[in-house]
Amino acid sequence: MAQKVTVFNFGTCAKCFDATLLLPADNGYELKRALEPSKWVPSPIDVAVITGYLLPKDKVLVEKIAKNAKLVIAFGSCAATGGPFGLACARGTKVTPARDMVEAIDVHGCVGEWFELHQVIKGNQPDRAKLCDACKRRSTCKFLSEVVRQIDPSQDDESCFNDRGFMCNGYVARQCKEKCIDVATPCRACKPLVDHPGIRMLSMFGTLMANVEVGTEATGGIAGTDKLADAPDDVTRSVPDVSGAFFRFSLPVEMPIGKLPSTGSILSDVFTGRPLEELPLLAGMLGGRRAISMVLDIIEAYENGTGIEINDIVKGYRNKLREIEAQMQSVTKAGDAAWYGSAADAIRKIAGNMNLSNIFFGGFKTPIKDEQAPFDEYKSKIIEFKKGTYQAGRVKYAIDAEGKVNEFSWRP
Amino acid sequence: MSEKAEPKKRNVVVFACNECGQGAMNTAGVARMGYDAAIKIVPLQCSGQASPLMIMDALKNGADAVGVIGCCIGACHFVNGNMLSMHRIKLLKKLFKEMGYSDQQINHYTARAAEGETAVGDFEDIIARLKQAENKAGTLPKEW
Amino acid sequence: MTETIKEEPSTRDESEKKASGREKPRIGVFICHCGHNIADKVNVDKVTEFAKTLPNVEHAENYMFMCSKPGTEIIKKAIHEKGINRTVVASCSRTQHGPTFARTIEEEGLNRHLHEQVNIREWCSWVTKDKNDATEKAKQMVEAGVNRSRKLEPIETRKISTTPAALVVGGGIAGLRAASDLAAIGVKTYLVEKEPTIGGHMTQLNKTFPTQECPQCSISPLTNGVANNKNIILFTNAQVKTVEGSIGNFKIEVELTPRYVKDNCTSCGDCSKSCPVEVPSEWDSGMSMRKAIYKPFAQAIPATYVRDKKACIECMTCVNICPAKAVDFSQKRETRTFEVGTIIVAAGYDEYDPSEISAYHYHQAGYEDVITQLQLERMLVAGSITNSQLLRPSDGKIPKRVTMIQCVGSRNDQVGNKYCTGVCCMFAIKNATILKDSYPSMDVAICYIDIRTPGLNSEEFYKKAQEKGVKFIRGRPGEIQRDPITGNLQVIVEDTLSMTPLKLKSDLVVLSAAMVPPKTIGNLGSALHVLRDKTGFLKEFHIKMNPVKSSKDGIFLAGAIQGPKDIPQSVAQAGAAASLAAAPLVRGFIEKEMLVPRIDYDLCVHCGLCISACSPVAIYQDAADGKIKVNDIACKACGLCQAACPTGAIQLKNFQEDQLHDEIVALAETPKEGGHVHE
Repeated sequence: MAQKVTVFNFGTCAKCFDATLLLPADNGYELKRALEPSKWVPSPIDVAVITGYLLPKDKVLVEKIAKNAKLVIAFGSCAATGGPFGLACARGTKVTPARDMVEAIDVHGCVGEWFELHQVIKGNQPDRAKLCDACKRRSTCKFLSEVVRQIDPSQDDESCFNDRGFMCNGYVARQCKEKCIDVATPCRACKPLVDHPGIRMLSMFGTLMANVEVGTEATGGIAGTDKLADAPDDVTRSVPDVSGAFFRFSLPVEMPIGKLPSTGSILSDVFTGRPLEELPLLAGMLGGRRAISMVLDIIEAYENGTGIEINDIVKGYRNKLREIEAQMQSVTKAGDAAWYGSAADAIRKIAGNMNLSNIFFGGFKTPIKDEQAPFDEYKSKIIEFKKGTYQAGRVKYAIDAEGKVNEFSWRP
Repeated sequence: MSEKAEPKKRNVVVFACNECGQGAMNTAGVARMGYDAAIKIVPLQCSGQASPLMIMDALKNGADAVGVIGCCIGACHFVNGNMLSMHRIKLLKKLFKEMGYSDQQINHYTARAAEGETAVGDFEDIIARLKQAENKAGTLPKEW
Repeated sequence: MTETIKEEPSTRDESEKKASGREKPRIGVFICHCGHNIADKVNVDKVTEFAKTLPNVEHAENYMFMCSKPGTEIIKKAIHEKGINRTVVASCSRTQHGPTFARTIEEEGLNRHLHEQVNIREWCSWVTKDKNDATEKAKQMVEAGVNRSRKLEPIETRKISTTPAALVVGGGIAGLRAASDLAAIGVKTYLVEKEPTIGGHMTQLNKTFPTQECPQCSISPLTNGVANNKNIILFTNAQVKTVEGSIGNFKIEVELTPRYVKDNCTSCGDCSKSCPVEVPSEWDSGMSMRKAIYKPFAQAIPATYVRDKKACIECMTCVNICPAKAVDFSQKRETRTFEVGTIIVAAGYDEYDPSEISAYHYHQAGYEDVITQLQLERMLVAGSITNSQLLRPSDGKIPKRVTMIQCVGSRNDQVGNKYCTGVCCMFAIKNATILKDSYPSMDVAICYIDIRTPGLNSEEFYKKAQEKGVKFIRGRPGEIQRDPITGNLQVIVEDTLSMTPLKLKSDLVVLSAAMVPPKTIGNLGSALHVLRDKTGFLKEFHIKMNPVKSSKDGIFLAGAIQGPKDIPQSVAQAGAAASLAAAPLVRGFIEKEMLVPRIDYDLCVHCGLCISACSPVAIYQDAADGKIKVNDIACKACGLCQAACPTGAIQLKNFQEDQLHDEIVALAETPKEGGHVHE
């Protein structure tokens, strides 16, 4: 008997929702897709798949869905643990994991993997293979004296990013399909291998940077000893954004709701406080159907504002990607699985994966398959941080002297 | 905070190393040095065994503040355990600030086994900073 | 690692079976009044009643003095009658009576690690003002102890047999003494010396203070004794390359640099006489020349000559002229491996090179008359290049005015080292005294910051030098100047006692250079995995209570390698090191508690951070299967690996994550009946 499966699209990204197009519809599923869950007419179903991030206002609807479903699956990191939108929690926006509202099974991933969803619907457990086992690099974890925010992606692909001082959360991650690590991009653990992945990774990296100088000061009163100092030091300067680096997908489950003032929009709540060099990947993760233009607008705003030249090869690929995005607006609305599949492949070929990890300032981080020109001609650049305001397309943002975003807006 | 109000029953979890941390606490005890009953000690082998995981565990389960007390800089019996703990806690404090909270609920201190006042002074510092954070409404919620 | 460890089965098999971690915990809680000390503040009855409500607590009672005979009988009775297999005693500190109760339960057949000590005295009753607060805190502490106890597992004490041999690194006075003492105890000792001859710096000295004895005479029974001792295997011209293993069983790899001269050398010296190549003699501190094939000094042991391959021009004269046909250019570098149980490091020191202090112009052209104290000794020694005369290197004349400068490379914040070497005042006074005795009309002045002459006979020595007419000028010279026309040297110094700036005309300037760690210490320290302190000397285990043990079990320190010191201090420390190093070998075994971490390979991602974090270097990656593993013998149970691990794969036994969680929860919340953790 066919299993009645309905996929619900919450939040604003819809990447995981679109990914469910690839669920094998002929495998005994009666698959329905609710793009606007509030319009869904409740009827008994076997499996409710929740995608996208949830806010407290969604609780009533989610409970209604759960009441009508035998099984609820939180598909994708947003539904499971808040995803990158969870970073808005620092500013009081209560992005809520599905399991805090109803009983649900988590299938993590950014983007969520349809075949993993498929396995869980059939009643199996998601695979627990370690990401490090699939990574070609080898780690020694000798203590670091220096942490770097960017690396030249074409140099030395044999040593672990962390050994080079370039933080990668792969140690606490499971194997995935998106494989940011294959596109010269450090992992941010969208599929956690362990509980408390953020705190554990913070602990590990803090230990690893043992030879970076930490500041101490005298303890007041009768103690007459030293304690850890409060002032910024090389340790804090080495990790400009602790929450974004370690808790990219799990802030709502590892920390209480934050008390910083909200900027007014969830997107700018997420982007404010992030280091510039993380922006492209972050936008690629949460931009959904608008990810390509969001990423390119962010990049081109900075390129224009700081005089970074890009050549025709790069321009060509970027235009190609924009074309695909334009088509995606109309096609995925209609839900054409075949079109989606081929579009996803085309995106992956240029941008590395569905998170667009390969796109960076100045070009691309790794060679594009079938491109004849030598990689050096379209290789991305290591950027310098110049304080200022940058604008292009729908995006406008300001960064401080340290290269951190202090203002962000995106015109829908 | 009104002085006439019922004094708050606090629980401050302090992770103390086997050498100087617990040593100083024993010395303070023998000398009958008094300190706030809020201080509860968790013995560890080395302050370098204290991890943010344990610290957050304590805060999530009711602790008002957490301290880690190890040997003085340069004197760690296991080379640099105390410094490793400091590095981790520094990042954890930054996280608190990034979330809009005070970073004064957690800290790493040092003590000398032969001098009880080093531990007692550390305890007093923890409580003083906790009170500061409470006054500024910057402490973590009790449950999350 | 395992092939060098010979283990014997634990003798506690029965207790292990009885108190296996897998059986259900039956916890006994015993609250001590400690007379008034606890009971006056803490309501022990209330705490006892509270303990009874906690899961797995099968017995709880309080008593006046738990550590007394009747007290321990209570514990034994509970074990007997109620099958208690975990005990929690809430009384004093772990260091005070933890062992008492551990022994008590061991006598009843339980593993000693199944006892948990909760300190409600030093950490509660003695420091808490209010009785209610103290009682509530005691409840929390008892619950924490019970929660921890619930998940304790028995820890075996393993007996590991030791290799009955020792290694001494360094053949100077400390190393020779240590090797001799070890040999006298009956321990087979390998002595490895990097120079071609044993004896070290002591053999370079002219006289030793305060008695002005001849060091060659003092040391010669020792050097000869070591060379002829059947218990000592001597390697010279050799360096330790790798050290594997841990206390009781080390595997040592020594690299021998070839002498190019066979053992049948008769020490006739014909090769050296006819060798055309001359280079400065290191042993003579550069004051004379030696040949490319040479014996460092006449009384050198071994007496076999040695060839300096770098200086040699391969004219083959020595090969042809040697009557014993002992010269053999075909010799190659060799490696020797052997096993020992303990190691003594006696690698000595180097003399600080004052070239760094540009104002003193040491080793600069035109300033040949600026020398170090060691170079002075080399001139004064019997049979020296100058026939024991003090001559100026520039013109070979006897100087009329000699100025010595103290603290060169010591007590300096800008250059050199901050520490005080502690020996230079004595040896400067010694040399100044000798000069005044040999050349009564010579002007000898010592520029000093402080004169440090502690200990018996030293102050007297200093007074005598003043009586002999040695001048003491309190001031640190800023510069040594040279008159460009006459070539005369001047020492610019302010006499801070009379506040007079001086320009001391000097025919010879002698710098009292600091003692610094030997050049080779970097590689040696890494090979041994021992700690060095900021100054580079090897770090002792405890600055007061254990200056002989290094940071690593089984490796001991003797002599200047642990910090500048004089000959009697080196000899004393060497004797201490020998006895400590011999102990586990003579006993035949070491006992180690296997309080070690375990690794969950489902979680281990082989990042290697635990290896970096491990202070005694007890974690390694097995070359055979690539897995991260722990050397149980070297492990010091510090838990640094546990906090470093990104996935929680490696956790220290009896400090497991979930166990600590249970303990934390009890202390972080107000106490409630039934506790905070379920069975």
